[in-house]
Parts: sequence; C-alpha cells; structure tokens
Amino acid sequence: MAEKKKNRLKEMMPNIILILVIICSVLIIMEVSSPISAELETFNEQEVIQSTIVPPSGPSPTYPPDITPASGY
Amino acid sequence: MTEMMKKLSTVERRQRIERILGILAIVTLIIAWIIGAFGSRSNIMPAINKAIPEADHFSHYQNHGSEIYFAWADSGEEVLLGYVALGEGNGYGGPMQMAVAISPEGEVLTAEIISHKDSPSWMSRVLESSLIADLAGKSYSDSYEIGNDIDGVTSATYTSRGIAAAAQDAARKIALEEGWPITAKPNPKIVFGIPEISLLVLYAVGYFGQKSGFKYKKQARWVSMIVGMVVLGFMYNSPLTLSYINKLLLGFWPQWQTHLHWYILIGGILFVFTVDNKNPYCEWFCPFGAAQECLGAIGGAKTRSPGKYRTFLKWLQRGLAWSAIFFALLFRNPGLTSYEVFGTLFDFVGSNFQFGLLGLILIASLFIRRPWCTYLCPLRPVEGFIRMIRKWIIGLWPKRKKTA
Repeated sequence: MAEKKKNRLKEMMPNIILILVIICSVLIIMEVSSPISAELETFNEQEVIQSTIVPPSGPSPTYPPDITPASGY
Repeated sequence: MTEMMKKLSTVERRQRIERILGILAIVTLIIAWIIGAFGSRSNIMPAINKAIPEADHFSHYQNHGSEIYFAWADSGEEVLLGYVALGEGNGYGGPMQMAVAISPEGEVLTAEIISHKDSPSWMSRVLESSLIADLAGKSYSDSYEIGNDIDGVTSATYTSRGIAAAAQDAARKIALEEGWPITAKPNPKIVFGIPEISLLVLYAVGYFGQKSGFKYKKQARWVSMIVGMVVLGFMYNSPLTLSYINKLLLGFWPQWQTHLHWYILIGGILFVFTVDNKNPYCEWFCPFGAAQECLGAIGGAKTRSPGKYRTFLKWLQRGLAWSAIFFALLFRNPGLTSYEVFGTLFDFVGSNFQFGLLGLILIASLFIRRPWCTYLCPLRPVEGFIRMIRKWIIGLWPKRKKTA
C-alpha cells in the first residue's frame, strides 16, 4: 500500500513541479512587470523620482548676486 | 549501431540549436545595450525647479563638466536664493545622480534623486528613511561619511553611501565654482571587512573542496554552506544576484576601494570558471542555496525528476533570465528586473509577490532539492551559457590547429 502511494507520488511529481514553477514564474512576471512598465512610460522622457526635504527654517538668504549668469532659463 | 548514430545526431542537432539560440541571445542583448545607451536621457529641469521652488528663474553655468544652476528671486531686485548642482555617486545597482540645492552660505537646502539604478524595493526603503532629509543643513565642507556625520539605512549601505557621495559631489562642485575653501578630496578608504574575508576563505574552501580525493568533502561543504548562509546571507545580505552580472555588462563597475566585495565575488567566479570549469559559489556557499538545503535536510528533500517537462522547464528558466537581462540592459538599470528573493529571506524586504514566491520556494525545498536553483534562478542559465561558449571555443581550438 505504502509502495503504491509512493509510486503514485512519483508519477505525480513532474506535474507538481510544473504547476509550482508556473505559479512561481507568474509571480516573478507580476513582480517585474510594474517597474518595467514604469520604465517604458518614462523611457526617453524625464525620470524624476524622489522625495523632497523641508528647507531649514529661517529667513531666505538675500545676498546680492555677484555672478553673471551665463545663460538665462 | 544505427540506434546509437541516431542518438548522436539528435544530441548534435540539439547542440546546434542551442548554439544558434545562444548567438541570437547575444545579438539581442547587444541590441538592447545599444538602444539603452543611446535612447535614455534624463530631463533634469523639473528636478532643478523642485530643488528651490521659490526661485523665479534659474541661470545655468557649465564649467569643467560641472553644471550649476543659480536660483534667483525677482522681487524688485534680483536676489540669489541658492545654487543647484548635479552630483554623482555609486549606489548598489550603479551610478546615481542627485540635484542638490545649496544656500549662498554653503548649506544644503534640498536634495533630490534624479536617477538611480537600485532595486525599487531597496530604494523605497531608503526613501522612507530620514537619510535624504538629514542632509539638510549640512555644510559643503562636511565629510558626508556614513556612520560618521550621516546615519545610513540598515541593509541599504551601498545606496546610502551613493546618496551621501552624490550630495557631497554636488556641494563640492558649487564650492569649487564659488571659490569657497575646500580641502582636497581624501582617497576613499578601502573597505575590507568580514564579508570580504569570508568570501576569500569560502572561495578557497570551495576550490580545494571540489578537488577529487578530498577526504572531508561533505563536511567541508556543509560548513562552507552554513558560513555562507550566516555571513553572506543573514549578516550582510550580499549574495550574488543578477544585478551583479548586469552591472558588469553595463559597465557600471564600482569604485574598487568601496566595493571590493563585488570584485571578489565576480572575479572569483570568473577565475575559478576559467581555470577549473567549476562554479564553487552555487554548490558550496550560495546563501540561498544553503537555506534550501537546510530545509531539504529537515524535510528529506530529494532530486526530483520533472520527467517530460524537463526541456520546457529548462527553457522557461532561460527565458526568464534572458528577459531580465534584456530589460536591465535596455533601461540601463541592473537591479530593475532582478527577481531573486534573497533580500526577502535575509532582510525581510520585498513586495507581496516576493513574499509569496519565497513562501512557495521554502515549502518546496522541504521535499525537492534546491527548487529555486534548479528551476528558477537566473544565474544557472548564465552559468550554462558561459559553459557552452567555453566548450565551443575549446572544441574549435584543436580543429584549427589540425587544419593549420
């Protein structure tokens, strides 16, 4: 009986492995698809990501400019 | 006899198909690399605007490769609000660029990452921390050293170092341009600690342990695997990942002084492969492989045959690895498609998909020997590819000699 069960499990093993690998592959594809689609959207465009930080408190500096801008923007 | 010849021709045919597909893989990866190199350019102006939002206009100055933006307020007379410069550093996945705003007194006002090559999950961990916020108020003359005047993010040391270096680079560019006194940039300290020493020792054990005739092979392998799992896995979370290979292919070779670990890991594998045609890493001290084997020892895992699905599963694994490298090269981002779940196990960082995947792999490890390595790891097809090319070249060599 135990031998029969063992043989059955052995026969089923390729199918178990296949199902397991396919589920894992789907999870992998779902994991990488969002960063890829985000990159596709920004491909050739601007890619600004990050957070901002709060500027230190206090009055804004009011130094007179002592430089000559090279080009206006 | 005819049966044997038939079998031989099948093997030869399969070998030929594999070689053709191998060449095709190289060609497509080269195309992706070229498109990525020439196609992707960042538009930095929104980041510059965001760095000093009170500015009415910016003037742009470029000198010796440094780009500096002067932020002006136009209320009545023109008043300088600060400077914005682009600084560069090296993160875990490759170069990163930051826009850093500095006040006329030389203190950091704001900092913003313009581009980076790190894995999204690691970067989001850094972004959730106070690392970037802590840069505010730092002087251009500070050392920007993680662990000294900046607190790094645990388990994201390379990314933290990259951010600090980029902020310092930007601050120094402005200081240099404005003639503020700055000391010469010190040479980076050579980082040679426990992970680097462990790697060298593990390579030595792996190299000699694989030699035939070594009496304590089994014991040495288990010791090596457990040390690899504890040190390279749970303590430092620095196993070999696909992003290491992508970094190599993209030419994002980090500074050797601060990234010795990367050079030892990649260099060691290439060296032993060339000399010995063996891969000591995967079987001897890959931390994730060791974790699977430990679970396998508990559950009595065996090498299970996938039977008629063998070829399909082999090509699925190769397809996943090829796609991951292709997109990484196309978008010039080594960590973008790195789908390993090593960080999820060793640092508990990852998305829901990664935790789901890890759970399945760990359960499967109880009854199948190394399921991740056998069916999903992207490094195995890379290894197989190098092995195929090596064999091919060696096979061609005597033929040429004979014909000559």
